Amino acid sequence: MRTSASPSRLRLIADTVRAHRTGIILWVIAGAATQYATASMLAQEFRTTPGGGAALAPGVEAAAQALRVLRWPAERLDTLGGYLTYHNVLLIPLSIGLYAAIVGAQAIRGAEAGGSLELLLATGKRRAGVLRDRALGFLIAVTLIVLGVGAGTAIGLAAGGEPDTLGSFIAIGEAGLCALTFYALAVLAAQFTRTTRVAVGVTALAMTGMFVFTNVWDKAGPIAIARFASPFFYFQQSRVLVPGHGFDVASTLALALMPVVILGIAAWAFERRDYASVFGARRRVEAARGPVTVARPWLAALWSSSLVRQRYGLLAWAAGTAAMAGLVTYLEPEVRKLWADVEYFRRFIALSGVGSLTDQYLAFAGTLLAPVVAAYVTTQVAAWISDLRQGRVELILSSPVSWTRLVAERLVALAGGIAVIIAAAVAGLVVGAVAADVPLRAEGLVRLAGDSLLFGLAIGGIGAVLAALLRSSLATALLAVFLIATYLMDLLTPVYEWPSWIANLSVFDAFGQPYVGVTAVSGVILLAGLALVGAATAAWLSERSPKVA
Amino acid sequence: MLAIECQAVTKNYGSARGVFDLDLGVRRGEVFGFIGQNGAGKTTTIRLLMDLVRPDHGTVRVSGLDAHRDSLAIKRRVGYLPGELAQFPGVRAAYVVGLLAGLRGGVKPERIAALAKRFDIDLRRKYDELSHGNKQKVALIQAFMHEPEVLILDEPTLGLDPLMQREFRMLVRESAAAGATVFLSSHVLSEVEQICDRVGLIKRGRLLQVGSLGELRAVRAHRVEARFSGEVRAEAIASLPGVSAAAVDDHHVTCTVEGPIAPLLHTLEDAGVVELDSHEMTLEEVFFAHIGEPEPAAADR
Repeated sequence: MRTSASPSRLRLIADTVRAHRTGIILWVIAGAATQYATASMLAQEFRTTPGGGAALAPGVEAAAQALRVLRWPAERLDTLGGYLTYHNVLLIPLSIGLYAAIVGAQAIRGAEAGGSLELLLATGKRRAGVLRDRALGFLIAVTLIVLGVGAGTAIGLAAGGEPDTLGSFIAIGEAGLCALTFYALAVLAAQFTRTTRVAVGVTALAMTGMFVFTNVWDKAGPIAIARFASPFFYFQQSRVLVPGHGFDVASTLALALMPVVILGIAAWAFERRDYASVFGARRRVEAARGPVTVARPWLAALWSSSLVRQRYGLLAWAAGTAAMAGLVTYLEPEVRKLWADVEYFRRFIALSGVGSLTDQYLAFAGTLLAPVVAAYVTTQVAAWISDLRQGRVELILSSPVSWTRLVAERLVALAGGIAVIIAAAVAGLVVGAVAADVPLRAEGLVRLAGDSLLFGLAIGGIGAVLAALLRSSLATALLAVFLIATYLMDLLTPVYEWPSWIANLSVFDAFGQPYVGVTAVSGVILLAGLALVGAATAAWLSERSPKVA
Repeated sequence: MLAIECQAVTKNYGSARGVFDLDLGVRRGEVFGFIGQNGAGKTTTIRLLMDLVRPDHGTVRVSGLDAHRDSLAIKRRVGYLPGELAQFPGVRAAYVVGLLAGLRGGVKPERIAALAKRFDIDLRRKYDELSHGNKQKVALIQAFMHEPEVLILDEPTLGLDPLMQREFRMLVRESAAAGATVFLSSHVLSEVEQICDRVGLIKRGRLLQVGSLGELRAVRAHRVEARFSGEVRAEAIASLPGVSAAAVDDHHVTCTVEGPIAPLLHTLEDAGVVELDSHEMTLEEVFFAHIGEPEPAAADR
């Protein structure tokens, strides 16, 4: 019987694309808008700067060299293509790569946990076949994202007066290939890990390591050869939007080959391991049966049990935030020079003008904590939705727990998680400051910590309302869109010289720059109001709606 | 005194889904079985009792308390087993039980240990690595651990092996003997038949019948199965007084008889009856009779 072979493969591929349709749409809209906005913003900056891009470039290039650990070499920053490549294109494989890692971990391990893979395999499909078709489906999803973001780039460049349509699609296409490598890595990691979360964590760690290493491999001595294992290295070889750089066929082929090879290894491991087990697992010898401790103090409250349950994830958030804060603080001397030289950057980051340039830089570094907290809150809102969809809310509410208590304890747990991240960020700032001999203000750190907590609870209040109202993953998506929109409003208002009331609508504007005390009373009231009204509204909505998904 | 009481309860999800004008009373200390087809409204009824969904109109009372207004007080007295297993990725079974015991408060650890031993489950194991049956055991432990006065159980033996099913039945009997009221929905009709004092039949959201198995068995109706050597048509059997649900297949007849059996015996005698078996209707047969589904063909039995 030949009848079902091709159609079944197509069905699985189509199912994969269908499953990611929301992600594709969001990526296309957000990616294309960002590319277009950045290109048009830079074009305007070139036009308004005396001497244009040529005058702007030297200062930025000098500073970019100082930030090499975070970025690849900056070249031809006097052109839109060069600047966009340095500023945006490098970050695209990182961001799509993280998305790809999550999808990759879900593709096999997630489907095993959910039980859907068992059904697929029962139809007679080979494991490697499922893995291949899921990967092909995701390839189509990434291709659609590339086409959308590539179009946004091309339109932005054309609007800025430097049209390069083919180059735009090639540049974003290579970013897509780079991201596919991380999809493949996550699929491979998932063969050796029990949960999708660990697989995503391992892949994200590998991705970050490879990214940083690719930026500094020339200083790595004998281990410099390891750069060939990084997709970022091949990605950097081909910078088609940078005048003078061409399309590197060999690197592109290497980029295309990497996901194929990694997926091949993953398929090999998948074929050889037990279903719902890890590759090479041996059943542990049962320990002698002793009494099981069930009653633990931290299990008596939802907030404490929630924090304990997510302890490893929280640790990863804390470590990442501490590393970021430490690194940003450590770079203070270099960046201070950049700010002194380049007026555009001073406007872009909206310096407060309060205190010394170091204080202002540390205030800016403090504002980076806001998006981190916002991202963490978004993951927690996603977890609340999962609690509902996966039956945990039903079970919890069958004990003497009201919706109001559940909402309140969730927010207490959220506050606990945010506090851990803030503590890690402050620790990172202190370590970075000590290492770079940068003076810190204790009262500034206290203000930063307090404001960040309030900011997180305000977003938590909004998220709680959305979760109570929508009761689906749409709540998480809407919160993410709201946060990105409000972040861009705050970021772009000074650059485009929009009316200040636009920025005032942003929760990020309400956050202000607490390290130097630039946080309006109205901002604090707004954040506190969002937190309290959000919590109360969420409890009210929840009490009046069904408790099951 | 009623432990569970529904008065004119309606929860309409549209497209004839939900429950409609439900009037139901479950006595204290009673084991009550709730049966019906998939989508008949069993789980909706259970969720109404637990205040997990709210009725469009009507009142629901558990232990004399209003299901919505006194929801928390009710939950202190109720042990609940949801129809769908909850997922708890990345934690041990002990975490799940410990969390729910912690939220409840006052649960004796030795009771949990005894239940775990009884159901033969190691709570140190990762919850998401447990089989469906073992997860069901964890869910049963949390439902019984606080020795509740009312147990509301949705498909309690789903995935349990026969030994554990027997253990569950014993636990239900012990709980009832200790004064607990048990309300359970199940598709395992033999199990309901064994442990339930009374049964409610629900179809398309409407309660068809409530009563003991004896009461549900229509006026001394009997199921008759016979084997014969001659010829007889199903129509001839079906036309006999008191006979219904007649099926003839390859010298084998099955039918239900209410009232005198003599006319059927005469007809079968003429057809050369060689074997005859008559028994009271099982719950399964009562179920099919009330739900109105066709009788299984004799050859399928």
